[in-house]
Amino acid sequence: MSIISKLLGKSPFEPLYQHMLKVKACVDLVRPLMDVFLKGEEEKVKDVAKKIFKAEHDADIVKKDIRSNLPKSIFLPVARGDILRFLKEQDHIADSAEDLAALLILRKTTVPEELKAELKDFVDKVLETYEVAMTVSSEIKLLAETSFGGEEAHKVMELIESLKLKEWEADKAQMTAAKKMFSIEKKLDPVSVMMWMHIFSELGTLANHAENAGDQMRLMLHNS
Amino acid sequence: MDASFILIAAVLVGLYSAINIGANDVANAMATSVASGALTIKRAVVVAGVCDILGAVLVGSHVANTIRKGLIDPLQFSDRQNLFLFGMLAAVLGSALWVNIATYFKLPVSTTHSIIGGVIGFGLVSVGIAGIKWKVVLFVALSWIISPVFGGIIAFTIFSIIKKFILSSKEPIAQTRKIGPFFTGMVGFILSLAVTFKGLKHLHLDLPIIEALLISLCVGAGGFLLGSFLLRRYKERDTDPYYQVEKMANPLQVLSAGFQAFSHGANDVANAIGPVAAIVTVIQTQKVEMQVAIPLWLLLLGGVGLAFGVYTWGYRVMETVGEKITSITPTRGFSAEFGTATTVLLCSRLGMPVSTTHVAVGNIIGVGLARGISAINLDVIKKIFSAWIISLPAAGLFSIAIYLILSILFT
Repeated sequence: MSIISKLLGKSPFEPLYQHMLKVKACVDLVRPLMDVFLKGEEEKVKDVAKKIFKAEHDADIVKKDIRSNLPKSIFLPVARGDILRFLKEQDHIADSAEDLAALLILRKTTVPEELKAELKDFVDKVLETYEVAMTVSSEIKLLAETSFGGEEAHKVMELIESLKLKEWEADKAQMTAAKKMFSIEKKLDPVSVMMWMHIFSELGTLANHAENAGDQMRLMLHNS
Repeated sequence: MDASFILIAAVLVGLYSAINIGANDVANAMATSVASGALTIKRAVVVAGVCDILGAVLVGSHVANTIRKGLIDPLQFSDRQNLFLFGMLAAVLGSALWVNIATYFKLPVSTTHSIIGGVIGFGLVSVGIAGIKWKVVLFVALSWIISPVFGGIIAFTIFSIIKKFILSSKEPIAQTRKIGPFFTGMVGFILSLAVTFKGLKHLHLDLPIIEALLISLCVGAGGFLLGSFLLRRYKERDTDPYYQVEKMANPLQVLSAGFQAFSHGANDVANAIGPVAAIVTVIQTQKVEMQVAIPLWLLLLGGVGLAFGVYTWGYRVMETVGEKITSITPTRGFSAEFGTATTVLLCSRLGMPVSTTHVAVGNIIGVGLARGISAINLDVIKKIFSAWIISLPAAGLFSIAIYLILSILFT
């Protein structure tokens, strides 16, 4: 048996990239989900939600696989804890999409005409944040290639900075949407108000996890 | 017992041992090149075979001398030559047996440690504790610890240079063209210096330091030009520059793989033919002689044995290695192989029998410390350490047993 082949372990970065693809396959469905939700097409909401549940489960499988392939005795170019926390945040993005989908099929909530513009804008801002986070994640293989330093790390660092701005814009959009919702609270029944608070909060959480994933990635970079 | 019988037996066992070493060690030497895709298995086998023979013939005598007469002074046997012959036969047979048994039980043992254990073993029972040159033994044991660390430092430095000047730069491809030739030049310089400076007397390669340096500088310049030519030939594509740098590093890695196989031949051929050389020189001169050079045909035989092992069994070993490793790329492979080859060649010139595989492990960890490798299983180090602790006494015991049997049967 060759000792060298035992020495060199399985790289976690390719699986991390695969996990990103799975998360992307899941969260990319949030836009179609919100589209049919805004149109009030109940059956289609259910269909898309089902796809999201399935995609989230796929991401979970990859996540578990990565975790079980990272024993303590493995030596990596970045801290093992950083990789695991990054994985956790990236996975949370898909979890948020799943929770959102669950909320939408839990109870039939109709979108009041007055709220549509604000809700659309909020969803746009959240998904913009998520897309930047996915761009950051998709650089993981190149980062491993350049030892998490140099020009490539610099590029990713700039993306992470812009992620902060995007998340802040999503926060603002959430405020605007919530304010709008309360301005028409007399027209809404109390359960709907509660549901809206949950839906807003879940969308906001998705953006937060996207930002956190970027922050975890930042911890892996080196200024050398 | 007839001396020519001992000679034939020793040559056969030595050849068998060489084939074993070629089959197992060379896979380790070429593993990184095959894994990174720089070499196909077929090409790796050819490169390794040719370079192993060259290394064995051109530089192999130094370590063989250490095993032949460095650990035990043969002059102690001047009035009982037969015991010395039996002892050396026992050493090579005992270590070959041990390596076979250990391989069967999947222990990562080193032939280097086994042969040293074998020689010390028969020395202990034939001439006693006082008859062994413990100073040399101590140096050899130290070199087993120092060589992986030393190689690791070289690999760390080389990869750090690649990282700083190529991977971190804004124009990685242009930088590869600039920096790459220095590496090929260095390979040429080191190789040439190791061969020419006080090298083989058979081939009239024993030049004094100044001449050797001059020739090596010329060879180094040739290596620089060759590297420059190869890197300039590369046509840029539209894909990511870092992947292209790895593609460009392919010829560098082929070169360093050959360099590593050369060093492997230079050092490890002695494990197979060191004791045989002792027997041959005693029989040829009919007395225990210190100054006789190792015959060239024996080095060549050892080299061919190594190559034969690579061509036959090593092919299969490499196949499994190549499939299993995915986390190493040509720039990393080059750094690790350059460090390994330089260290093993230096040790060969100093007459130190070191384990190429262990030095390679040290080098891969060196690149890992420079954040070059995506995943290293550190628990392997424990296994290596325990395997070499156990090799010395185990091979020694086998050697003692065979020595006792031979001396009871034939005296």
